[in-house]
Amino acid sequence: MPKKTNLLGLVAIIAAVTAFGLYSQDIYLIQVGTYAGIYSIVAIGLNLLLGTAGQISLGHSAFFAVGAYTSTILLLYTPLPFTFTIFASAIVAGVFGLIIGYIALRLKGHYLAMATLAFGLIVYSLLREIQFLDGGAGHVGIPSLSVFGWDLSDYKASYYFVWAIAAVVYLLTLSLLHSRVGRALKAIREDDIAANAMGVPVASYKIRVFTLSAIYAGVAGAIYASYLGSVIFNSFDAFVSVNFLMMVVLGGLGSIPGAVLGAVILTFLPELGRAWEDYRLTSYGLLLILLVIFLPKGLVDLFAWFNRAEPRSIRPKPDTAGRVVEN
Amino acid sequence: MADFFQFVVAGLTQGSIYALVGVGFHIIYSATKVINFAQGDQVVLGGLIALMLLQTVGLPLAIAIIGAVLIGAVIGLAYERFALRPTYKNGELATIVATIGASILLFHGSGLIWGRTSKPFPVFSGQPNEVINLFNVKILVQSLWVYGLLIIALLALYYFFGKTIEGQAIRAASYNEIAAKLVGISVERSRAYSLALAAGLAALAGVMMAPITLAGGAIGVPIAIKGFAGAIVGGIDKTGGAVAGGLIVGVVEAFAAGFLSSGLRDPAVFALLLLALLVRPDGIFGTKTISKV
Repeated sequence: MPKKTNLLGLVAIIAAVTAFGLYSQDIYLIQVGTYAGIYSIVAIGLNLLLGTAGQISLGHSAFFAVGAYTSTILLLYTPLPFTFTIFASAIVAGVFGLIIGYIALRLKGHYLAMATLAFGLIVYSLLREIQFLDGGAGHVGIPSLSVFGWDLSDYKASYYFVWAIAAVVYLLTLSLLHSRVGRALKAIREDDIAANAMGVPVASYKIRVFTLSAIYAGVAGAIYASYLGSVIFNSFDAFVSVNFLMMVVLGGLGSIPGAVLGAVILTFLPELGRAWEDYRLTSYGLLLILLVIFLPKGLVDLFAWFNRAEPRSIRPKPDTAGRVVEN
Repeated sequence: MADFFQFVVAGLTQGSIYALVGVGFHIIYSATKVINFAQGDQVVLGGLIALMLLQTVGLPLAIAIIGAVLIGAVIGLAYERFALRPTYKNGELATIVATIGASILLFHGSGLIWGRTSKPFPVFSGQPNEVINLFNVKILVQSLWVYGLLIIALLALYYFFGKTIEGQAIRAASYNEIAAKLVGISVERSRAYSLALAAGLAALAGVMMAPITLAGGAIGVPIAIKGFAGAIVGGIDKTGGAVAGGLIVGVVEAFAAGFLSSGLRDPAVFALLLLALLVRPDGIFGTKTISKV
C-alpha cells in the first residue's frame, strides 16, 4: 500500500475519531470507542508482524496481559505514576516479545501459530495460578489514566488520549513500513531464504518485529488496565488473541488503516447484540473462513477495488497465488 | 510408589486421547501440510454427537459410537471441501486462519445446539467409576476401554494404510504429489479422505473420553494443543511417533497435576511443547529434516 494511502488513512481516522468525539454525548458509545482505540494499537502491531513480516502470532493476548499486569502491579504496590508504568509495560512486554521472537526464528506457519498459542495459554494459566500476579481474584482499584499528573479520568479525555497514542503508533509504524526496514520485512514475508541471500539480516529482523509488536500490545495493555480500573486473568484468554487476529484479517493484511478499521468494527459489533453472543461467535468462525476464501486481503481491498485505475482483467494475479506443491 | 503408577495409569488414559488426536494431526499434516486447529473441537463434537444418538435418538451404545465416528468423518469431509480446499490457493496464512475459523465455528456452533455445560456420559460397561485393582493400582474399567479402542484404531489404521489400495494411494500422495498424480491418484481426494479419517479418529477419541471427562465443555483448544504437543514430541511424520508422543504428554500432564499442582497441568504440557519445538521439532522418533533460516 503506497505511503499516500496510509497517510490519507490516518487523516480519515483522525477526522472520524474527532467527529465522533465532538458529536457523540453518549458516554457508553465513547467508552466503546476508547476500547476500539486501545485494540487498534494492538492490531497495528499485530498487522506489522502478520501482514508485513508474515509471522503469525496467536499469543498476542499474552503480551497484552503482560502489559496490563506490569502496569497494574506497579501502580498498586509502588508510588510510580502511570507516565512511568506505561514505559515499564512496554519494556517487560518487549522482553517477552524478544524471547518469543527468538523461539519463532526456528518455526514457520502452522508451527509458529501453535507455539505462540501455547505461549499465550502458559501466560494465561500462570496468571490464574500465581497468587501475586492474579491468583484468580484479579486486581481492582487501579488508578485511572493520567499523564504527568494531569487527570484523564473524564470519559472524553480518556478517549482522546487513547486515540492520540494510537495515532502516534500509526505514524511510527508508517514511517517504519516505508523505510529500508519495511521493505526488508516484506522480503522476509515473501521468501525468507531469498531475503537472506539478498543480504537482509532475517533473524535479527524477525526478532525485532516480534519485539516491537509485543511492545505495542504491552502499551495497549497498560492503558486497558488503567482505563477499565480492574484486571482479571480470564479477560486474556486465547479467544482474545484470535480476536486480534480477526481484526487484522478483516481489515486487511499488511494495511495499517485496515488494522484500525478491523479493530473498530470488531469492537463495536459485539455491542450491537450482547444477547446474541453464541450466534455472534459462531458467525465469527464462519466469517473468518469466508474472508480468507473470498476476501483474503481484507476489507481495504474493497476500497482498492473501487479505485482501480486500470481494467481489472489486465492486473497481474496476486503474488500469493499458487501454493508450493512439492515438499 | 503406588502414587507413581497411579499417575502413569491416569496419564496413559488421557494420553490415549492425545495419541488419537496426534495421529489425526499426523495424517492431515502428511497429506496437506496443514495443522488442523479444529481437531480438538472435533473431539468434543464427537462426544456430543454420540450422546445425542444415545439419548435423544435412543440407539444402543455400540451403534451410537460408530454413528458418531461416521458423522464426524462426514463433517471432516465437508470441512475439507468447503473451508480448506478453497483456501489452499490463497497461501498458508489463509489456510491457518480457515482452520481457526472452523475451530470457532464448531465450538460455538455446538454450544448453540447443546449448550455450554458438560454432560454426563454413561460408561461403556459396568458401574460408573468402577475400578479393578492391579498390584495396588486402581484402573478404571473405562480406561481399559480407552486402551483397547486405541489399539483397535491403530490396528485398523495399520491395515488401511498398509494393505488397502485407498490407504496406499493416500500415502503415495503425501510422499510425492506429482508422482502420485502421474500414476493416476487423485491428490484432492486423498486430502479429503485424510481429513475425514482424522475427523473420525477425533470423534472416536471424544466418545472414549466422554464417560471420564464428560461430554462437551470448553476443552477443545487445550485438547488440540496437547495432541499437537504429542505429535511434535514424538514426531509428526510418523504414526508411531504421534502415538508415543501423545502417551508421553498424557503422563507428563498427570505427573504435573499429581506431584506439583493441578493448576500446573496445562502450563506443564504447553511448556513441554515449546521446549520440544525449540530443541527437537522433528520429534524423538521422527525423521530429521534439515532446514535453515
